[in-house]
Amino acid sequence: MIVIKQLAKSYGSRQVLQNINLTFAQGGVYGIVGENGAGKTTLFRCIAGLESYEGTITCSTGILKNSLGYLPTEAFFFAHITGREYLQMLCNARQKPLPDLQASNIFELPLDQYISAYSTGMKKKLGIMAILLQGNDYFILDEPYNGVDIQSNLLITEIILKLKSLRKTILISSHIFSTLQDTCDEIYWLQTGSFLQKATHEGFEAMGEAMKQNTIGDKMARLDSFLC
Amino acid sequence: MLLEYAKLQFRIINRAIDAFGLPPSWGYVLGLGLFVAFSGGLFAKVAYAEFVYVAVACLWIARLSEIKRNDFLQTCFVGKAYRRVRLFENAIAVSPFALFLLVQGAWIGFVLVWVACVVGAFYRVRAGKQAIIPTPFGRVPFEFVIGFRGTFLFLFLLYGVGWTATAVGNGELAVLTILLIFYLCLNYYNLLESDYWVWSHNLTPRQFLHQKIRQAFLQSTCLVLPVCLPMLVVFFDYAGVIALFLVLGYAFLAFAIIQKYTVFPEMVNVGHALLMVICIMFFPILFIVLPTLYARALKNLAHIL
Repeated sequence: MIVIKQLAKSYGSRQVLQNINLTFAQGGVYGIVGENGAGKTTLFRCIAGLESYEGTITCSTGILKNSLGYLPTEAFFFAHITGREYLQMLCNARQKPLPDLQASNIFELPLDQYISAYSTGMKKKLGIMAILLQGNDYFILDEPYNGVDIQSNLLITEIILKLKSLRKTILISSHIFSTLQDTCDEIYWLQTGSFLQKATHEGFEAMGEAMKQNTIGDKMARLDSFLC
Repeated sequence: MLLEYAKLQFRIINRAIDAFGLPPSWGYVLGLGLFVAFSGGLFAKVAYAEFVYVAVACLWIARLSEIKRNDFLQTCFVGKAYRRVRLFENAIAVSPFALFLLVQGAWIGFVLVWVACVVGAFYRVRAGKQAIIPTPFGRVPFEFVIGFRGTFLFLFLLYGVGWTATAVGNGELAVLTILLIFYLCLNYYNLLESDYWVWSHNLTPRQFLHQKIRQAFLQSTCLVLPVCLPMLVVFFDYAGVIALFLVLGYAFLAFAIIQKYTVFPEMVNVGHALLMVICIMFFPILFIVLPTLYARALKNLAHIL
């Protein structure tokens, strides 16, 4: 279980996160939604320990980062490294042996090619594969569906459900609300650094509608004013 | 439009120099000095330097003609404007080469670089499918895998020099090749990974740093052994001297790693490079500086690990 209390984060005078209180139970899948710049990635980086913050983040199973698989929105890769070497590196980082990749290459990636030759979606899939091979208990998936083909989207959804059945705790952010509806137990709506709303299964539809209203507002009328 | 593009490029270059830790004006002076030194050295030491020089200028133009870069430029500049931008930047790129060729009176080269400048504006270069260069470091990838792939030709050249030096009994040159191999290895640590790569380790800062240094020692040993072993056979009486230079190589390798992580995820700047130069010139200082840097690296890594 991950417990977040009074989390706040600012960059200079700019407050990015404020008064965040959350509990993520074991085996739960949690979605975080919000506009670009709402603070989703900062929240994830704070949970991962990649950012300093005010407040506390505790994990019931010890040091969170040592059993956390974090998939950043845009993973970083060097040009002259192959997919296989990247996986080896991330397994080494957790002292895990690299398994037989022929069997575990579920995304059928060309692992012996340089990552620089990979498409955006392939890089995303490689990142997912790496954190799966690390055998983590907690997962943060920041935009896992971005740039990925429909077939792999389906596979990613199934992977999340499989991880849930294995009692792993998963945090996901996505711009595609429907993908969260398929997988999440709870969805949190983050706006300008604090939570605006929380919904469980029954409330997903209402939350989706509220988001639509909030996002679109009078923007179509404004668009009309200079389009027509 | 052309002026705006030039101003933007100028600002980008200034920012890059600034990020390296130098005021932009100093960067231009240093860059000019290095360029003149390289050019002068080439014309003084290398046969057919004029044509080698033209080839270097062509490689420079080829980088500017890279297909993705030009796709982007074409989305920004349409028709003749695009062509003008390409001619302009090629002209800027070849000007220093052309000027030096002019000073040398190398007229053929002078004409060739301007031909390349014009032709380069009309062609795009597609970066071909890169061959995967096998390395002996696949089990513990990162710095040495990437570094080896970037420098293997130079490395094999150094092996050739080292073996030849050993065969003709030139011990000093053979030792120099060992130092140059270590210098290559030091440069492998100029690669700056993202904080995510460091964060992924479930190690304490001390364990992380020790693991990095241990791997560097092992992997650099793999690279220097092909020169060291024949040397030990031929110059067995000088085994102590060879060992001393190996220790020097390891010490500076450890220095480079520790220094990198004192400022990580920022890049090592010119001040740090200067510190290393001072330590190379007055070696005993290394033993005073290293513990301080080590403590700072541990403190810095504690934020990420």
